[in-house]
Amino acid sequence: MSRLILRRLAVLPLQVLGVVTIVFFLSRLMPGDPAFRLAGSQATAEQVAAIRHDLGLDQPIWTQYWRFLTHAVQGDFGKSVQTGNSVTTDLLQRAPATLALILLSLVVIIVLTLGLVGWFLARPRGVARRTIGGYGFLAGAVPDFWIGLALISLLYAQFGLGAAPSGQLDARMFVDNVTGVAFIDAMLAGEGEAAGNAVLHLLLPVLTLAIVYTAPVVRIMSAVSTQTMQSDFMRFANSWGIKSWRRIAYVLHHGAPTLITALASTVVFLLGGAVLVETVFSWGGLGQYGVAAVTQSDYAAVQGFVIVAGTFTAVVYALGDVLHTVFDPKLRD
Amino acid sequence: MNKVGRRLAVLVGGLSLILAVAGPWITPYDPERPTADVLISPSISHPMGTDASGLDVFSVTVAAYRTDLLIALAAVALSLVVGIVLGVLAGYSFGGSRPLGILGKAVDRLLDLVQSIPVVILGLALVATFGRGMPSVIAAVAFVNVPVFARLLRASLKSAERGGLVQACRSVGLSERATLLRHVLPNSLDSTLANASVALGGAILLTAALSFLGAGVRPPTPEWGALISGGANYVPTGQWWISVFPGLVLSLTVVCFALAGESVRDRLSAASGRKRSVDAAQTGIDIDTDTVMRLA
Repeated sequence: MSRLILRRLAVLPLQVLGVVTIVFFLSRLMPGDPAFRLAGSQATAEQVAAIRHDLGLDQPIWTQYWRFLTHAVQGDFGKSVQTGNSVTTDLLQRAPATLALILLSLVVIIVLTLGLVGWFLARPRGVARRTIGGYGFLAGAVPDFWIGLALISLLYAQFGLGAAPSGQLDARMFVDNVTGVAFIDAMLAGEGEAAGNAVLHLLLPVLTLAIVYTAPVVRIMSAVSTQTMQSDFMRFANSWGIKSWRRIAYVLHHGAPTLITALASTVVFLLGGAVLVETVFSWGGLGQYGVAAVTQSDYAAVQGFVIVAGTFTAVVYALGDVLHTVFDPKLRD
Repeated sequence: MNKVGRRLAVLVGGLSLILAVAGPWITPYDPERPTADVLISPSISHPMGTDASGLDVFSVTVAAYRTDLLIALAAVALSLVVGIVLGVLAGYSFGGSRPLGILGKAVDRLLDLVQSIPVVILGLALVATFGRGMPSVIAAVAFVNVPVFARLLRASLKSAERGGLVQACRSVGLSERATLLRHVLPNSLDSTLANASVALGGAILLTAALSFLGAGVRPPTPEWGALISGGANYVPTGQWWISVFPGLVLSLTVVCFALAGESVRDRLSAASGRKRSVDAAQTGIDIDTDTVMRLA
């Protein structure tokens, strides 16, 4: 098992290298000369040449690639045009808000999944099955950003639940930015009212992500559970007359490795979903930063954002595989 | 899904296709010329209300059918072609040819890598690269879909090879080319083609997402994501119809494509007596221990 884990972890740097390479060569596909774009329309030929030299664009492509790689490894993605800060500073500042959104949604998703799959296992036929089937189908077809808006319209505009989509706090509230997550900042500052407000602001985005991304996990888990229910070992267990809660526990235990792999994928989906949901709720995290970078052609920021997202993905999948190995008795030695 | 659901899907799907083709003759208002009624809630004269500039939401939503369907069809067709080529490279042994084998491995890893980046983020990066506008949205959506098609085909080709079809062709002395093009490929394409319908739905979702983020089709071209985005600021104050109706129509369309795909897939699996995990390739979720086992 430990050899398997080591092998898996050894692949990780290669995957990150792959992402960095893709991002580099994508940037070379861009039409036009980046030096011209950076210099602006008023620049003289000398200025353009100077920028080109500064960026190393007058070097052969492999030298450029090497330069990009060594900078990226050191966490240097260049300067953002929109904020004027280094892209790394910008990304670090915004990452906690996105992570908080993703992790909180993940917790809700796990609870919902266990609840729904438990219900399905207790009553494998009838309503539970149809509900899960229908829900899984619909959730895959409805855009997440639209769900966010629908929830705002239904819960906030109609019933005053949650808060206006204006970021992590009401505009009138203010807490010192320490961690980048308003709720934690408010708790640190000991401001109960602001913390309560931050919870209200978390409600709708987390609900949006949970509604959309619980569905695939539940779908997979109920499919796997159905298989397990019909397996020989469960028939054997049933013939001994085990209690129904015990049956459910057996099936869930047997499904744990699958659940872990599914959750790893879910975290990656959540990152993609966060890009959209952050835009809907003006969350101020990584996703919104990436979107702003794209719409304002801030290419250094786009590159930094994609590399960070790709690295995050690679790490999450590696972690999922490692945990899978730990939880799957078939892979133990 | 049961029969009633499928019939409903065919009905709604057919209706939406008619709307897409005949849209301009059916819609009550010009989708690009504002009316004098601004921000009117759904009523008899404006069944889906009007937006802040006075455009009739129903007319624009119907007009957007064409944009979204066109982008989705073009992107899926493009990714199907590229996906088949890459899938053959990654999945077929070419009689054990070494250079092609190495190339296939490289393609396989590259597909892995591309699929590891969340689709919305990859789409955004591609639009940032190619510049905004319809052609680059098509290219981005196609790019994102290529790995799904390629991997489905790769899986079928591998199983065709294991199942002895390739060996059978070789044993009767067919050339490598005839084996691949006349026998193996036609027999392996079913799940890949069945995925096209599901992919159409996914392509519409991604197109809308990109436009919603401001990185897709630009207004005034009517497009669902852009329409939803245009109404987003009015939702918190209670003017829900500008965003909600285009999203509803979009979702209905995607559901239809997904149902159609499912029914094609059911028929195929009933015909061949085996089930393939289109879902797994589609969502990127490996149900089995494949990823871990491959490293062992």
